[in-house]
Amino acid sequence: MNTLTFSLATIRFELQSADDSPPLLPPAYAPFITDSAGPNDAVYTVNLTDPALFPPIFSPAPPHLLWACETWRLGYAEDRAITIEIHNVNTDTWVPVAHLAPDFKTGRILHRSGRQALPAPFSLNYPIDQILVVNRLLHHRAGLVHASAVVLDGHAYLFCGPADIGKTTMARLWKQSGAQVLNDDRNIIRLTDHTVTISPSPWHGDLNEINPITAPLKAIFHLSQANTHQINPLDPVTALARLTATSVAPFYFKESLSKQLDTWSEVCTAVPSFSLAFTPNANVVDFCLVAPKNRAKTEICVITPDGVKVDSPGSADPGFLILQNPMHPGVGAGIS
Amino acid sequence: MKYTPNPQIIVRTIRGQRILVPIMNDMNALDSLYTLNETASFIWENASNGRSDTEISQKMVEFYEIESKIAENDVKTVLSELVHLGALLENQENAFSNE
Repeated sequence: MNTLTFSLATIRFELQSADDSPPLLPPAYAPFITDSAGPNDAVYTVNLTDPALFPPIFSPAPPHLLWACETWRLGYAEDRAITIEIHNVNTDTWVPVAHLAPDFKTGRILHRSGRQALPAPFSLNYPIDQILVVNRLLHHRAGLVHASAVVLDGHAYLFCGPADIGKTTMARLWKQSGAQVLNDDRNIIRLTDHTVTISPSPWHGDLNEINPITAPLKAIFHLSQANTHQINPLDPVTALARLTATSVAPFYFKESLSKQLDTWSEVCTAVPSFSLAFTPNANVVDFCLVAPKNRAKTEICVITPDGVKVDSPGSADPGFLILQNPMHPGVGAGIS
Repeated sequence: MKYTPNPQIIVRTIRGQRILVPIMNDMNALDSLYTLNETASFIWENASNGRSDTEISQKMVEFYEIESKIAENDVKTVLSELVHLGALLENQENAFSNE
């Protein structure tokens, strides 16, 4: 049997080919392919071509339909297995392309992909690959975030935010300062008994660079754009809300979402988080390096090109009725 | 009026503050993450434990040592908002109780 194994944050996924050809993955997966022996977390049969093996979502409405967007949807087949369908834009029909165990540990994948559901170039394609990965990561106290990550002097720094906020720009600025870029678009946070680590994923942005490094996470920055740099520490619950909003997570399963929140809660308690408004200027790297050391909850650290000014907060928390929606318009789960 | 927490909402508490995360079926629902500060969390917790708005106001007066008028007003505002967000469901069985 032809097989191929890839490992993300040390979690192993095996692909078994249904035909004589070996499983094939996109070039971005190259740093993650492994031929070392070890227990696999999940095993999938790929390169299948018979659509009859893939039952549809039982009905296109709740409770069978769990998630829907323009290009794909996920739900229960009649046998209670998980079905993923992609949308054929030419025929305006939904094509089942994955049939999976409810825990996502096993399943089979049809060799179709794209907006026309054509024969796929690879054995594992979008959106199936990300769906499988995010639904398995959470069982290992890990998760995927829409963020760029860099490593400098052995410490990792994470920059979260939606598309076009500056994640790739930030990664480039850090690279100019000597850091290694893990990935400029999606990275994996993993919680172990002793530490929180960052590892890259195969899904990068405009910066076509992936470094398969795992490093301890020093700080998380939630990005916005501004004319000057400003860093504000976030309290853990606001940090949790921001991190959740930038997660690529199974928001459609209560138990899975609950598990993910448990992990993110621990991460946000263990690792300092900041809101970072920045302008694309190389000195933002120094500002970020200062922030975790100067992390006083009641201080607002305003860092300008002329130096660091620390202010005390203005009016006190009014106390009653603070129902804040921490979301900015357009922030997405990164799964479209 | 009494309330029930919406079972489609997941709640997490960190250092006295809460985050409310709904189970989502599409990307539009991602606009619905909410955080509650300590006081709003107090109201949420008491409502989730089956206390009526009157009882919650009384609890607030005792705990925060504030005037009842202020407590009633804040409880009313917070509960109204939580119901509007879908985080709490009004328990209609008690709608006509003598609370």
